[in-house]
Amino acid sequence: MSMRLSSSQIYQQSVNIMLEQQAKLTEVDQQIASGKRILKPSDDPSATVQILNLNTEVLKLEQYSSNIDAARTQLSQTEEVLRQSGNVLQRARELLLQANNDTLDSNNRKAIAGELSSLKSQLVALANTRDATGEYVFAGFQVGTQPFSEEGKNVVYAGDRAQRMTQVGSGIQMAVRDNGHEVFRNVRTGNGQFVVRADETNTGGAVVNPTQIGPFVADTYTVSFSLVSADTPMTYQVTDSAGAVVAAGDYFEGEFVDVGGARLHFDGMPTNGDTYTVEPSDVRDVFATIQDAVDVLEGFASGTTSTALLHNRLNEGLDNLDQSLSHLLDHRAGVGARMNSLDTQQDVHETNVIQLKESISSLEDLDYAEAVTELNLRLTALQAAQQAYIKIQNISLFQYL
Amino acid sequence: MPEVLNIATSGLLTLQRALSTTSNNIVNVNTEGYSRQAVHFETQQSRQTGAGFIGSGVTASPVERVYNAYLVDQVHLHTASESSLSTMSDMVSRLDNVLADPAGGLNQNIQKFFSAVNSMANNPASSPERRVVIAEAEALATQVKYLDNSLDQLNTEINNRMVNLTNEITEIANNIAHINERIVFVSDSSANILPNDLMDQRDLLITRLASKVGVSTVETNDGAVNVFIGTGQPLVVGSDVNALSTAKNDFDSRRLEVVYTRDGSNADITSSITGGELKGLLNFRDQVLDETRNQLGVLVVGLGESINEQHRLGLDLDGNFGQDFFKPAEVGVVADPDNAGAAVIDVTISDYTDIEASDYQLRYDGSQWLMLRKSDSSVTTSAGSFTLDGMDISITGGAPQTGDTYLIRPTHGGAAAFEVQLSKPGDIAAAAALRSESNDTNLGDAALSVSADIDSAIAGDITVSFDPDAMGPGMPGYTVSGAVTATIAYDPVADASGVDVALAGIGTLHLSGNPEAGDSFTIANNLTATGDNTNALALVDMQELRVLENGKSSFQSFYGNIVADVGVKARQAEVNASTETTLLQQAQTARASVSGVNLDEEAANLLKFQQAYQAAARVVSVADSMFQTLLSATRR
Repeated sequence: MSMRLSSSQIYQQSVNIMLEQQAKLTEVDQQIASGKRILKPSDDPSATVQILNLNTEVLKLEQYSSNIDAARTQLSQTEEVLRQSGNVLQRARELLLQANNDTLDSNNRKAIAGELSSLKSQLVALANTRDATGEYVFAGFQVGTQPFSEEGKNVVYAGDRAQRMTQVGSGIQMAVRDNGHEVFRNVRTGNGQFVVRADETNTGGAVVNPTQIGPFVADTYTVSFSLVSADTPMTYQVTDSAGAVVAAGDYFEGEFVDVGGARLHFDGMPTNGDTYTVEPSDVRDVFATIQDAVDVLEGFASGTTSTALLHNRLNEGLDNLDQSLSHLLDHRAGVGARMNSLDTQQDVHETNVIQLKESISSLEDLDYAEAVTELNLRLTALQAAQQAYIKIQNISLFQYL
Repeated sequence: MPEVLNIATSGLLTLQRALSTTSNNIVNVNTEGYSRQAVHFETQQSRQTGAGFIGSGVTASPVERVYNAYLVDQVHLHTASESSLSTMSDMVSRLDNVLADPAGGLNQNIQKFFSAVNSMANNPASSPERRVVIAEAEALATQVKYLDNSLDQLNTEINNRMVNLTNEITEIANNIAHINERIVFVSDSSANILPNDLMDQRDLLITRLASKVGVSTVETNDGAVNVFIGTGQPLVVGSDVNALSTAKNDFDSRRLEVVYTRDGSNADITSSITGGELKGLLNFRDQVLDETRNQLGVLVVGLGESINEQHRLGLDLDGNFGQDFFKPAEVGVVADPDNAGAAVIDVTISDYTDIEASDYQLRYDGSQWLMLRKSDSSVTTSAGSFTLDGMDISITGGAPQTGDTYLIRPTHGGAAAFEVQLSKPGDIAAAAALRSESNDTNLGDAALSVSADIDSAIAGDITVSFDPDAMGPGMPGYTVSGAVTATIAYDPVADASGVDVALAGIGTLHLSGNPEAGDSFTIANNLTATGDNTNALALVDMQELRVLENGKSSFQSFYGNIVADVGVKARQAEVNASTETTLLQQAQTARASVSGVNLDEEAANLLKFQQAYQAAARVVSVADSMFQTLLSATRR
């Protein structure tokens, strides 16, 4: 037996169906209006969370990209200062080579000393470079303090030894600034392993030219020359820091002496009692290296320095200057490498952002073709329900009474 | 002949009653709660004659309503659960909409805050960038407040609706009691004469009541219906009513509970309410609102405390140690007003990574304290102060009394209290507390860096020097002297690639490389280091750290979970509600199929009774013509 239906129930059912179709129609309508598939988290909770996470990731990568832009600005400034400083040192080197030439008189040398002094000041100014916000670039973290200042002949450093880092990727930090200590002060002397010095009191005419023939055995060695009588050859003796004799022999002009891995060529004759020391390299700042040359040239001009000592000192100064130049070059190469790595990093970020945005779009954007089809289906369904309602309403036994 | 007339008259009278019943059905086709009525025809008692029993006409039974008590009960039952589930669904979907922010809501604010800190790290001495950090932190706090307010509004709405609902329930109960009284008064159950319309009205009232609160009914012999709620609390007994009302929770004045009054005594029956709108609201409050609020609390307490902790380790632009960036979180502790003991309970957060999104009940049972975690009902016992879920619970003061109870809420008020405490850009601690420098005369290539874990300046510089015999002859290490003294073993060969050493009063030293005897490092307060961004970068790192839930979630993934949680619950509630709506419609259809008026059927009945009436009237005219025939036969 079929079920008995009450009249109001029949109407109510038709009305319910129409209401339901209308609600669904409105939902599709909202989706189309907003272009989004997900209007609230409950529409698709797991996709909502994915979208949240992906958006976070995009913003994070964009922040890294902007960090990289800032880092690049800072690094290129450092790079430019290092380039200019290199030029200054290169000029100083040329001057030292000139000054080492015996054809120059003391006035020429005095002029060279003057130019060297001004190069030193230029270098101090470069080391005190500030960035666009007024911060000292080479002061470590003491960005509000002028890092280098000339006190008499010395240049003192007031910065610290910290290195500014920045976040350029998830868990990746990169140095964006180098401190002045590392760049301008932490330079090895001599050839980087040892340094040969002629004693101030030497009176002979020997100019020493060191080369390295093997691993340097770190110690302070003293090479002393002695001439017992005019009939016997000049002898030399090498002692280590403890005073033990490590080598000895006769010396003839143009010969060399080997000391702990260093080979000392002597040009000219030493006199009795002349000493030379071979010491492990120390660190010396670039300003002092230039100042040393100035001092030697001025000493020579005032007659307190012998020609041989001048050459010895200038040779030593040239070694130190070469160290400074290659030190700056190393830093410049390091900065360049960091800038390259920033570019690579930024490319990776940008590619990732594009991919992430595609993923977000595929999760939250509406498929319009699908949505419009859905809209038409819903419209048809609603119209059908409305027509059915009208038809049903017209059928009643009372019409025939 | 008189029999014929009598029979016809009985037919006319009975059919008139049937016609008026049918008419009544027709006009009540749209009356809510109306049950169609019917009269049944019965033969009148026959006369016994010598020729056998001769029929004497028709009579009608009393008008009765067509009714199935089981089906009506089903409608009541499904009305209650449908109302409960759709109320729940409505409320969750409102919360769902609050969290539906295409830009990411709180997540985006957290991101912007960390981005601002990151930009500050690029330029730590800059005031504008520091200002942006504070502005973004305030925007974050505002968004947290907005979410908390949204939750609060829902709570206020629940309170208001609970007041209205309990009033309405009591009023409907009064109406039912009143109708009960009249039904008992007018019914004549022996004659089966019942006030159909009153009974329909009462059913309708019970249906309306069921949409407010789940009920069960029992009909008594005198025609009255007793109505019960919850776990059997009588709401209506005959003509008596026990009222429902609301009262403030003992521990939380912003939370109402359902109170049931019987014989002048009140009882809190909130937890026994079963269905209807009231249960929907209570379910939403217990299962979604409280939990969401507590989860939001876990997030902001963890965020605030972890940022504060890191911030206090750094130095600001003036070289002072960082203050709390956000207002420190406080744990809410409320004592039951009935407590008789003198214990003093003080709760602080000791480990923000460990806190749970739950309220706790602490109760003294006479010998020990019982701590009930409400989220999973787990109980921890302790004789005195203890630590649980990242909280230090300190119990001091006088002796407690048995039954003393406290409500402990580590996360409930977290979002409401979340605000930025730092106001001056220069107070942001972007720099590290300590710096370390190698001595210029060092011969080896050893390096030392320091991660400070201190919140006040060291008393003076600290020198760390390498000594091949620091730990005894032939046992190399570093000697620490100055404000902190110690010796640290360090093997230049084995440790050259780097070791971390904890140093009390300093933090962690990272040592590496190959030192020569006498090589030394100086550790000093990192003063005037305005260009230092070390601590700012450490703050940036917090974004990625899995700080919450014991190292399971980062801030943003945790917020994602909150959104997903509400989304899933909204979806589930919607499915449940729509299923139950279908069930309710089926129950209503089933009841209507028995009790509802069908106009076609009534039209047919109308025709049927009208034709019968015409026939009976015809019988009268036949009786009349018979009578006339008889009269004319005797007129002569």
